[in-house]
Amino acid sequence: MREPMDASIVQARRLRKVYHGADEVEALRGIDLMVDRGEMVAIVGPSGSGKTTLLNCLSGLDVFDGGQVVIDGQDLAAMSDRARTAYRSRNMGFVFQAFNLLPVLSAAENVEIPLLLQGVGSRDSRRRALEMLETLGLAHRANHRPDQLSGGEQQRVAVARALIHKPAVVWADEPTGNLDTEVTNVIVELLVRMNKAGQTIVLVTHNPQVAERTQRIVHMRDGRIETADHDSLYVAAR
Amino acid sequence: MTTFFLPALLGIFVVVYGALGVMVVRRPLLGRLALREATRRPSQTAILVVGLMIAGASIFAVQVFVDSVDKAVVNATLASWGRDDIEITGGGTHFDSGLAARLAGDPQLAANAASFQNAIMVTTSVTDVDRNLGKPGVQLIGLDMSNQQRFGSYSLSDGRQTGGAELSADGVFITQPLADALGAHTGDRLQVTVQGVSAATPLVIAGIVQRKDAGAYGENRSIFVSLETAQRVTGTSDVTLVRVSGHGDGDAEIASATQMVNRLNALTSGSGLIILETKRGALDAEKSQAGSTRGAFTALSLIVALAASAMVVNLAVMLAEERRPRLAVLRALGLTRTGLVKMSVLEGAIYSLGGAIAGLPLGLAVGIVLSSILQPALSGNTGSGLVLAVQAGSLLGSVAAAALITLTTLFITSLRTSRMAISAAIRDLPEPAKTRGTSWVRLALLAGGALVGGGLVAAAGPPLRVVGGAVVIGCAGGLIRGRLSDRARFTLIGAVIAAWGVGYTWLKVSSWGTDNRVPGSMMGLTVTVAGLSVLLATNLRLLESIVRLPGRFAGNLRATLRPALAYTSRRPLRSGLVFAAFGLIVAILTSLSASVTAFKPDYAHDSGGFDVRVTEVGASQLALPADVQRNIAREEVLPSRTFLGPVKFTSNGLGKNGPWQQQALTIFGLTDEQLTRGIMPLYSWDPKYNSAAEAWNAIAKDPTLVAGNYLSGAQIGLATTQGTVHLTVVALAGNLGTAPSIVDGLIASQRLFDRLPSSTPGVDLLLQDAPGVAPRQLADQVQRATIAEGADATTTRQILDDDFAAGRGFIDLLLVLIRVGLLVGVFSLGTIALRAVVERRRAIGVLRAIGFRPGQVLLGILLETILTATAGLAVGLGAAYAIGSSTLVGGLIHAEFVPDAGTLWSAIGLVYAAVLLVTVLPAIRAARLRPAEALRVVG
Repeated sequence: MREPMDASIVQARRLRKVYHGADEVEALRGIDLMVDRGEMVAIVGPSGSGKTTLLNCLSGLDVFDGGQVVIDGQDLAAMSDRARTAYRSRNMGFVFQAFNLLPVLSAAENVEIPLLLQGVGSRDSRRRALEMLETLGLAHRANHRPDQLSGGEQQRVAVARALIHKPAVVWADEPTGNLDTEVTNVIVELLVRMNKAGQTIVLVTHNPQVAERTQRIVHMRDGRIETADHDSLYVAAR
Repeated sequence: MTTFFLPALLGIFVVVYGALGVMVVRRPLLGRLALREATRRPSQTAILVVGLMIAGASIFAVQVFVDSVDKAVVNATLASWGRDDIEITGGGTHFDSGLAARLAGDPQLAANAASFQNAIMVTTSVTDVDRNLGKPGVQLIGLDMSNQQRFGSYSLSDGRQTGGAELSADGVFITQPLADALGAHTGDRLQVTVQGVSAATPLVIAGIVQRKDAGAYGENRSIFVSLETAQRVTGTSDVTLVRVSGHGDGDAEIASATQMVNRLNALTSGSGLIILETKRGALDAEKSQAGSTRGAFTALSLIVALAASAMVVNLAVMLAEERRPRLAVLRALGLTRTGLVKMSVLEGAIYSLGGAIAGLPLGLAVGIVLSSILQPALSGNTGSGLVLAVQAGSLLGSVAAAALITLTTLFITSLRTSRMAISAAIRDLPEPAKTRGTSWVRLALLAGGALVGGGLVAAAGPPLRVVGGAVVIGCAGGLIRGRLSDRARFTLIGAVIAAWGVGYTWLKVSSWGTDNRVPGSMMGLTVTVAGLSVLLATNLRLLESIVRLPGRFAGNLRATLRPALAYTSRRPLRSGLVFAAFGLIVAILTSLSASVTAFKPDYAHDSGGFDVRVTEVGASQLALPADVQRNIAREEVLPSRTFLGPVKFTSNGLGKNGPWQQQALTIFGLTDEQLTRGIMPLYSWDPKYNSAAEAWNAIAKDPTLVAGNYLSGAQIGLATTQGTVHLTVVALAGNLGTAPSIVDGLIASQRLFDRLPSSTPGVDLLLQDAPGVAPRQLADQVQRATIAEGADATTTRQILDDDFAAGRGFIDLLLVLIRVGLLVGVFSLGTIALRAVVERRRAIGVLRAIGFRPGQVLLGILLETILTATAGLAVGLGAAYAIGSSTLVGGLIHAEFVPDAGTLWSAIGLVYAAVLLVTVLPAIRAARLRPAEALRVVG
């Protein structure tokens, strides 16, 4: 973990995002959000509320139309695509609902890609990837390809890939959306464990049980943040 | 297309599309869904149809080309024979000129005969006294002008049409090609030298005739004179030929002639005269030749179509991948897997038929281009412009063949794409690992395949035997699944198939007949490519570690290379398919380029060390003056006889299996001493002889054995008044359409001359120049010295160059076709790149999310296609070199397998340039994908 420069590692101010199509859709309508270093935040809300769009804009996967996003002191809007890409490779990790492992690479090879991108030597990369897989209980599956792994195992490999280079923030978009309850618990426990070790995690979920395990819940509706605590989630759910 | 194949093809087409129609009627929902899918994304449909178009276009282009050449050849044949339907010949001897009148008076012939014309035809040497230039081997055609009207008029180069009235006592018409060779003009004086006539006869050129209408008759270098003039020149009052024209026009005329044959035979019985149904015979021979030509070119076009099919597979899988969640929903709603396959096949049927029909204009355009470039050389028709013809059968057959090939491809692909775990597919998750159980259907198919393959090995001809062996090996490999790791098993299968292809071809090619050598070698090449493709695709991981080496020294280049290499190396079936399609085309291109080298003149070898050839016809001796002799270091005298009469060729190799034809054939009679020395180079010989020397010795011992411009085994019959002289070709002395030769004719023992008493004597001198004398200088000197005799002196280098240029057209055509195939292969690689973008959209999104720069995505996709192209090239080159001289070249002639560097490297360079060109757009598209967009995430 890098030295803290500010308590908030993620700062979004008046964030706006408009999808231009046949009908213009304002997906984010002036979002203000702060995420503290070492915090684990869940973004919840009904479908179409703008959760994933917010995650994409905060993580630099998508560009936005107004406002400001500052990650660890870096203004994303001021960066070129190239700089943003380089920044993501060093400082961010991603976990997706559909796992999104590269099907032709083994588990270990998938995990070590972020290290290779940073120019870490192949032996060192492989050693660290295997260590990470061992930490997640997947050492025996290191040489298996994604289609030889269960859904839960694939998602654990995805988590390993997200964490291997010790990013400042891990973004997880519905990380348990395709998993059964038992496996969901395993993945959530894993994320919580990493968070307790100091990892900042922002996740989008529909699952109240998953959201419940985070330190803070941000509830969205129609492109706006409605409330930001546990109780509000349950109020909204009712 | 053959009379059997076309109806069968159309029948299958009707049955298949009829069955699909019934399917639509019984399950309208499937038809509606198929139609909706086909029209839902017009741009995707367009890409697929373009891919399918190529298969249709390649087949149709060849059919247009072959139809047009056939038509041009038939036109040329009809033009050449004109109204001449039957010829009554004495096999080169003279006979009574009263025969024509007697036949004209026969009441039984009157119903079918339009005209009988007396003629004299002899081979002479001609000198243009005013130009000081002579040419040997010129056909002198003397015709009874009183009967010329039925046989047509002459078209003179000045535009006039004439019935031949200008051919007064000394007037002659000369053909345009002869005029060009002599530089002759109307009014020039000619001297014609005829065997047995002591003084050359002076004549005057009354006109230069074009090779059409009545002027198309005879050889290219001919002179037309009146019968009286011909009789004066040859010193006889007899004739050598009676031309007979049947009543009617076109087919009716030919049929009338056929009606007369029996009666003519009866009337000339016992006279030694031979009745030749010339025009029908020539047309039959052309049809036979056209059938084998069409077969060879259609086979090549099918290879192109197969390459296009490999591209179609990629396109179809790409579409299926993109539609996977939607198709899974249909499955979830109750559509069976069979229903899904039916729906895919129905959609494929729309694409296939659309692609095949859309390919017609492109095929027509390519066919016209091919025809305009190559028709003159292949049809011999240089004067009447481009002939274009498309038979209805060719058009329908092309559509049916292309539609069925692509539909079959799409059906097989749909069997694969219809296999899905519905729950995973609906959520667009990776397909879970499948457990392999024992499938009795699979076992039965493999066992059945092995039996069929074994049957082919045991009972079929060489080409199918090679395939049968490969099928047996493949099925055996399938049956041992589970006993070895897949990698070891496929490595074994690939290696054994490749070894079978190479080994069997190498060991057996020399024992295959001439008709099996080329197809057998080609099939050996195909099987070897298949084996090597499996071997390479299975073991690409080794290549991966080699290619990854640069990554050790170049920072995150390793990260860039990894996905690109992995996508190629870890999908062996997919990669192997592309390698095989691309490799086969490269292998054939390499073999063809080796034939260019093999047939290119090797002056030192092909000239036999001689620098100048002097040809004289009409006299058996040619003395050179002392001042010329001083410039000659070595001289070889080759006496010749030019037989002008009925000749019949029988050869399975190149479609020369014709009827008796009136034609001129030169035979060189060498002494035993000359034959023993083997003064002429040979290209190949009968397998029963171990060397060229053995072949020459056999020719010396047996006067019926000859070396010539035909594959060994060819039979040649010469009908003389003493009976038929049967000759067997035991060695190829050159000019097999392409291989050059410095003498133009058969080479035999001089003892053969005893059996050809009435043929025209001649002589060829082969000269080696003295030190310091240039060949051209010697040729000019000899030409000047022998002008009075009408001899022709040419440098051997010029002869070899001319021969090569004349024969190169055929090889060029094959190269053009196979380059079209190469282009298809390149497009196929472009499709792979496009497929990579569509299919890996999400993977690209992930890579971009975790830090891949756009440039790295672009480089990765470019590297992937370049790697695939390189692997295909390696397979193709490997197979071509492994089969080597036993393929096209070695199957026909003994030559080193050295591909033409220019042809090969230009093709390879073109491949890489084109690969980059067609890949760069999809790669840029991939690089520009925004991560969020690529991940298809919505909030």
